[in-house]
Amino acid sequence: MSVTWPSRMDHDTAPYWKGLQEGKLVLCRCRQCRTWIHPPRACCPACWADDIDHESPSGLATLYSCVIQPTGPGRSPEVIGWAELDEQPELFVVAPISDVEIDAVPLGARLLLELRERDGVVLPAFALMAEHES
Amino acid sequence: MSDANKVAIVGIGASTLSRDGGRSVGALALDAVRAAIRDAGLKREQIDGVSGIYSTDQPTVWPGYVVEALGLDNIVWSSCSSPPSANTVAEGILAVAAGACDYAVCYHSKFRWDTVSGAARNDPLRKAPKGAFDPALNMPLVEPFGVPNGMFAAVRRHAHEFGTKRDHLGMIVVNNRTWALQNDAAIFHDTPLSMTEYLAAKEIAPPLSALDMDMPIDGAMAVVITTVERARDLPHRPVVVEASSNGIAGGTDFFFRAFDSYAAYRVLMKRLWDKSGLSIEDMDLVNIYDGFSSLALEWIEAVFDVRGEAGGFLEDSWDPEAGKLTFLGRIPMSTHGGNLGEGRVQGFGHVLEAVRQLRGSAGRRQLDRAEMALVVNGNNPVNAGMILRAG
Repeated sequence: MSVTWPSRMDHDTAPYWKGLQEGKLVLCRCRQCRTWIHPPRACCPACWADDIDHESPSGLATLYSCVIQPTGPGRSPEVIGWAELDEQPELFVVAPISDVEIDAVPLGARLLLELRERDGVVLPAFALMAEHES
Repeated sequence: MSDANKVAIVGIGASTLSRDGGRSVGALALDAVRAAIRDAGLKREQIDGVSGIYSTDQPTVWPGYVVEALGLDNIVWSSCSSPPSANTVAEGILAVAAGACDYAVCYHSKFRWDTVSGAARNDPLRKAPKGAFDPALNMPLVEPFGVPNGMFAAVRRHAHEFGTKRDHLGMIVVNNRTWALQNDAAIFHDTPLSMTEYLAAKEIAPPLSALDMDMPIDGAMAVVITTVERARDLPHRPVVVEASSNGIAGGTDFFFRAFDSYAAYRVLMKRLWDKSGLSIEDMDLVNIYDGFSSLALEWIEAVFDVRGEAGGFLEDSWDPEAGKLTFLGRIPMSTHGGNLGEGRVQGFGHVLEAVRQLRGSAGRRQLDRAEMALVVNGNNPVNAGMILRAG
């Protein structure tokens, strides 16, 4: 596979990609007001502090919305979800939802983060949580 | 404020709108700009301001190209802005109001680049200029997943939260397609669409089908703007700008948080109503942005203040026999056919149509009463809107 992600990295997104390389999802979080921030930014949108930390969220989330994304000729489409993390309202990670029927995607379902290798790079994905887990 | 201190649209122009007009993106821009200047009854020497849409997801030509190619030798103000088209019109309005120039021409030129479709990809004359467009710097985060479209996730969420159905989107699409039948320049001027046909279309990005997306075309449009005072010496009845605004709100990132475009639309609408002292009741026409039908849906919520209730509101406004929407018992939407019916010039047609209706020159689709029109353009996080009045 010749594709390698990311296609571009900058000062703000480097910690995100480095985290994935080390097998964990790390998101920006303001050290001052503790707001979680994603996509990565150098300044807190809530309090404007420049004091940005990087932390791993719990991985618990709810499926807020999704799209059915084509993956190329002859390959089945996949579900890409907007996972609203438990840490904060409207804190979304956009990632594939594993093992879900594309005709019956349950918005509001509980999700669990799982990191998956794709094109040789570790990327976020989410799995539907079994009833007894949620 | 008396009209003497206001600005007006005094010229309009458009190229042909087609799937393949055999003209380059640059030629189309020059067609529209020349037509608008001629329509205003001006000479090229009088044009001293130019603005265009440039920093876009689909490249076009910058003002320097237009100035050079048309020999506009007296330009003292120029500007580039991002789409939608009303953005560049708004810039011209501001420049003239501020006295930065006397006669501004504002344009946008759209083109079916090779990135638009398979058919365009096979045409060697449609290769897009190189260079990624990622103004919010987020794209690499979603590239591994095929750059999923935030707008599609937003409409799915809207349906989940508010019970919006495909029929509701269909009313918007069919309304615009029906009006397009009365617009000879429209790409769909001879292709009617019924609700039955709409509902039978394959859902590509559920609940959206290809019919919910505006039609890619080659086409450019332009306007000329000056003060109301100068407009009195020009051939057409001036169309006065009562208010003009952009609207953007935080937390509406396109890729990650497209769910609250409504927040940005409300910022824009509040400004238009506050600044003009007018209300929706004063409007005779609303030309609402329809890059996708779902964007029009959320604009309708913001314009008529019916957040979460667009479905019922559309049902109350829908005439199934006519295939058209009439809001509040008398206000039609997008009488030119919108982007969905006329073709994708990213909202410029909405501005030109308002001018035509307010001039009384809309031909066989002319409204009986057309004194005041609202135009809204865009989706988060770049929007523009204006209230226009027959002068």
